[in-house]
Amino acid sequence: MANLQISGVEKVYPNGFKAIHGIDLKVEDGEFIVLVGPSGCGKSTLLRMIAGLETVTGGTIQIGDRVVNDLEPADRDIAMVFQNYALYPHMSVYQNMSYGLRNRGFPKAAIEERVQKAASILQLDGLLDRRPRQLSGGQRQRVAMGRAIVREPAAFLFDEPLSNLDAKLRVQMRVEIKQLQRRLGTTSVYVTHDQIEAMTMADRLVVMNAGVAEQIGTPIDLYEKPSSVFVGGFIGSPAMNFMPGQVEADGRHLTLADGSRLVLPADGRTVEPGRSVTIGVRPEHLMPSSDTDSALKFEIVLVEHLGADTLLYGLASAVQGAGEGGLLTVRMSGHHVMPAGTVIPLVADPSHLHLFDVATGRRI
Amino acid sequence: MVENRPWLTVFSHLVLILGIGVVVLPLWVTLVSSTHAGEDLLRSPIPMWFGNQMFENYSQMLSSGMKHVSGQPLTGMMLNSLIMALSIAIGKIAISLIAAFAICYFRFPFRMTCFWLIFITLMLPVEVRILPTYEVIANVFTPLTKLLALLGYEGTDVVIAGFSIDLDVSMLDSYAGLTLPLIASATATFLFRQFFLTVPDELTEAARIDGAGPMKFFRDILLPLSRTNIAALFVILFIFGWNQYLWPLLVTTDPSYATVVMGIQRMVNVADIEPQWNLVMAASMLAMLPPVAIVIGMQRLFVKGLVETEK
Ligand SMILES: Nc1ncnc2c1ncn2[C@@H]1O[C@H](COP(=O)(O)OP(=O)(O)O)[C@@H](O)[C@H]1O
Ligand SMILES: [Mg+2]
Repeated sequence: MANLQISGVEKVYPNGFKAIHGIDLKVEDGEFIVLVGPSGCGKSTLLRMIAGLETVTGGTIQIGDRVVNDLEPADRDIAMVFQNYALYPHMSVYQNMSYGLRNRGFPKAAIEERVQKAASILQLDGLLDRRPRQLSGGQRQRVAMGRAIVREPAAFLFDEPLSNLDAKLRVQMRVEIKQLQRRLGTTSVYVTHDQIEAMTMADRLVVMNAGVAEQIGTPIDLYEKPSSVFVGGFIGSPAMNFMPGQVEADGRHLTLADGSRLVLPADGRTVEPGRSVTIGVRPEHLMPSSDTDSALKFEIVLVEHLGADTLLYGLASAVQGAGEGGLLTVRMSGHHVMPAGTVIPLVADPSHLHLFDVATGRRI
Repeated sequence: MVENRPWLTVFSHLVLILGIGVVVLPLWVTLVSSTHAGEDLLRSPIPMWFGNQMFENYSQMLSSGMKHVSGQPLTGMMLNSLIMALSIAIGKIAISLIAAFAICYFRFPFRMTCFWLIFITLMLPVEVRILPTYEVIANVFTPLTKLLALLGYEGTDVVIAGFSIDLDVSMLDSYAGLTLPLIASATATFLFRQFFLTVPDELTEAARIDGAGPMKFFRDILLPLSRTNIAALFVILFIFGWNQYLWPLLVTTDPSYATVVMGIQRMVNVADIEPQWNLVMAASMLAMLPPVAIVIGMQRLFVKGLVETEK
């Protein structure tokens, strides 16, 4: 067990491409950190630098109290679970799990004990003699996990380990991995592009964008206080709505593009009057209003019934878009039958309005 | 493809039977001829059913050979062929595996140059480079003496620190001369490289994290994964080596290095008398046995190596 400290880490690939622009991150002992972001933002690169599979071109990576920048992967006391499992196809499950220990010269009896223990934790008892190709996807995933846990490393590294599984199995394995990590208490860094996976598994998330850590925090932090337009749009499903607005002279209201008005949160934050901002509102924080004058006009295009919730997709001229306005999403709890074409006035919950700078996209 | 048309079935069977006939008939004639006395084969029509001289023909070939052609038993030649074919197959596979491993998994200066140099030799099989290769085998130091001659130094002796070194080592009439030039070629290297490229990077990385160094990775992961490819290549190369004719003919004059293919050729090309076809056919049958045994013995792995991609 150990903590993991990443300080000012940068990565420039040999072809000159800068994939990581200086990231600082401190992972506490036993913490489950998820790196999340769109494809190509550098998640794998960062993880592979921690693993030692890519060279570190700037900054330091520290596992426990050792700087590991120049150590071979095998000497870093980490274990990695790959997206395609990377099981050795010609070895049995037992050999797959014990290979790392054998290379380290563990005595046979100790290997046997560790593998058996891992196998029983992962319900692989009856499968130890099988070859990987004789296993289902979920079982292969478990073997890959088993190979990681028999090593009893200081940290687990996961690179999108669930993306090859079908949706149902993914949810099940997600719970299993999280439980296992709790039980073992091993520091973990987990990479995914799936924000739901990230939100459900993480103790803390790192939202990455184009090689930069946009925000680091707990899932609730990120959800309630996204530090930028990017984080707000990336975290949460359906995604946050964005629209342009301007702070009114009284500093307490916002005017939208279609002339409608929203009340600013009265939480003591002051925004200079007249300033143009980007307003972010989550779909669940928009609700129908009786005040038809100043409310936002929303024309329903499509209604989705999820059972517990109803999602309304529609056009609003307050949102920038082509023609008669941009797309807006509203989430209402319970059943609501509304035909397409209905126009309803909307207001936003003032305590859940997010304001971002128009130019930088940072939270105000 | 599943088709259900009777005449198509009949037709495809006819084609298959015809094909088998074309392949099997010569073999059948060889086999049958090898069991007759020499005179029977000079009359027409040639016999299509077994005679009663099988034991005599085969034992004569194996024990004493043909009297008026070198008079050597076939066993010695078969042994030579076996040594040559095995050396070529094993040598080529060993060297190619290592070369492909180096090219795919290590980053060293001029790596791609090395690859292309190896690749270019694909265009230069022994038949094409036969004269220069012969010269090098006749004297291993030929390239060096030529180089020295270019630099103005004539002669085949070099005096270094008082020792005179004779730059004249011949590999004619030796197993090394028979096999080395045939081992040096790029086909197998290229095939292994292509196979190694299909091995997922993640596997290599997993092995690195599991603490396997390069050689351990080669032994524990890459070799077992290449098993079927090695088997397929072994079969192909063994037959390639066994069937060599031109090169052995060129580099061996000593009959004790004759290979079985050369031997059969000499039995047919006799002057003044009719070839003893019954004995020639017996020799041919015997010469066919080892390749057939190899193919049958390694059939399962061989087919797997050709069709399966186990990953
Ligand atoms: N070996 C490489 N050489 C050059 N660029 C690379 C290399 N590997 C990845 N990249 C680039 O670095 C960026 C980040 O890649 P990666 O970390 O794999 O993204 P992801 O977040 O999808 O895992 C991508 O733009 C990718 O094209
Ligand atoms: Mg990735």
